[in-house]
Amino acid sequence: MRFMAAKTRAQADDEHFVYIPAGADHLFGVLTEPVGKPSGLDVLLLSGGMYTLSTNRNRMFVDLARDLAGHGHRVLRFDYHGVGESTGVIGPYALSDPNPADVAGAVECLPGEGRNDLVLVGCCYGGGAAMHTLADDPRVRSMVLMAPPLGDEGRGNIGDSCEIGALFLKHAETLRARNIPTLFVYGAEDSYYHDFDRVRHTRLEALFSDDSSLAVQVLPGELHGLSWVRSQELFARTTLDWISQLH
Amino acid sequence: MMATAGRVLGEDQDVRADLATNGCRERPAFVGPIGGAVFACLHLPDKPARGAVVLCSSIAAEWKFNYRREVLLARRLAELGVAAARLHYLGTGHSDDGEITFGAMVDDVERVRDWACGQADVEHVVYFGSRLGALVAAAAGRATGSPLACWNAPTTGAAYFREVFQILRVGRLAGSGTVDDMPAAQDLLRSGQPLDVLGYTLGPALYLSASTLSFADELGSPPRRVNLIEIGDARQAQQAAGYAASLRDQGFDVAASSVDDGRSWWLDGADAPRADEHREAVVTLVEETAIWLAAAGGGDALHGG
Repeated sequence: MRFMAAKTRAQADDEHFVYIPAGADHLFGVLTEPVGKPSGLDVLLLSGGMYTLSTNRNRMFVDLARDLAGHGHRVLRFDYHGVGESTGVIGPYALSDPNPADVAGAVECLPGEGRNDLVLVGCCYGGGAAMHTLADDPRVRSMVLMAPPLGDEGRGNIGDSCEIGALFLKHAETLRARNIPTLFVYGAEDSYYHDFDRVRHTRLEALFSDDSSLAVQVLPGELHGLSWVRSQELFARTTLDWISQLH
Repeated sequence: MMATAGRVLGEDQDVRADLATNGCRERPAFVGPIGGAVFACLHLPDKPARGAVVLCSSIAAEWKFNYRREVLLARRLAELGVAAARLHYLGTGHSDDGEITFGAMVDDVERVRDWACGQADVEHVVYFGSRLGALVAAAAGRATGSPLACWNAPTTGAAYFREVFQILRVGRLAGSGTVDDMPAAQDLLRSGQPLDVLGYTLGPALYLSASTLSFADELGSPPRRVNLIEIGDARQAQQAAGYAASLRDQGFDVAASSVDDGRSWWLDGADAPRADEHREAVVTLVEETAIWLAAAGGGDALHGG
């Protein structure tokens, strides 16, 4: 599954394995080097919860990483601790504590030589992890967040209560205040989109105003869980388009 | 040792460092030519390996569901003194692109087996396979009649895909509430179109190449040592025991056991589990499988145990 016709696309030969220290554990990662002229952007791919591997479903992140590298970006994907090839045992995927040590360790692992700007691409729980750990990080240039839950507890549904999680709100406000271009991508049939839509013109009105750096894009069908190949392709193309207009 | 000409990344310097865990080492590598490299990870004991096990995974959601327990199995085998190699078939996981067929999966296993034997300096190899990987493992070790342990081996490729198609219907019914607009999976694949199985691409080449196979045929000539481990409920265990008996009747040396645990490989969230490390059934499954494989593979089951 290739998402676009990159003139040159990375392959395994362009990738290195890394073991990333994170607390007492070592996270397995794959670093994809840029093919052709480097863009100056590093992209960190963050998988979702439920033991999702660094490949993501149907190896969407492998294809995305190799396409992004074909556009000159350096890309890192990794297994959270206790998942895939990494050591340790993962906990309950708490949205209030989404493995920040793992994310911070992964960022530090990106090569320091001529430190690049950083773009985060996170799916669901991974989107929450990106916001939680790096919303105020000066290296962050942009984020693409797929179906991030608005709540901070349980699976993050806010339902009829319309009570947005304090952490979500805080991190979104930070991104807005820092003018970080951030794309929230939902599927029209996602329960998290229904949550978002409920508060879009009330609690979130100011955050997503016309002059905001935060934007939302709604794709057809169900995106959360990536349980359709077509949804994976749409999300990947959306991500590639978003990142390509950053430089 | 390599069957394929070209640069072998796994024998180059592409690995920054082995990971050390409990005195053992883990060595990820891309094995094979540029553009056709297979991701593999070799688990090495803390002393010279007494044999090797090659683990043949299943595909798609089953691959993901079983991934961690196969990592745990490989780590345990290394603790027991046996090298263990895992891989991602071409066109899957971290490996390079490639058309997935049953024959290509067997080729990938043989390539990684040769690489692993060279790295671990061993000759004796036994196999492990889960679900569709059981057919692959059976085929890969057929020429040498190597011992084989399996989790939920399908009796035939056709039976395997039938189950996948049933799960697809259940999954779509649970999601969109209807399967009325769903084309018949077999017809789609036979016409050369890929099938979207709950977010995983099933290509026609794999379906056509594997749906005519049977586990017994892939085992080759009896007697071959086989350990069939069935994960599931009592009814499924009974079915598996019946199948084991039929293989014995054909002259195979078959051990059979069952582990009472969920098998919701495909329906994420339906069986929201704790981490495999915290699930008693998984710990038992891994331990019993590892001890059988280590004994069959020449390792010392007491070492590190």
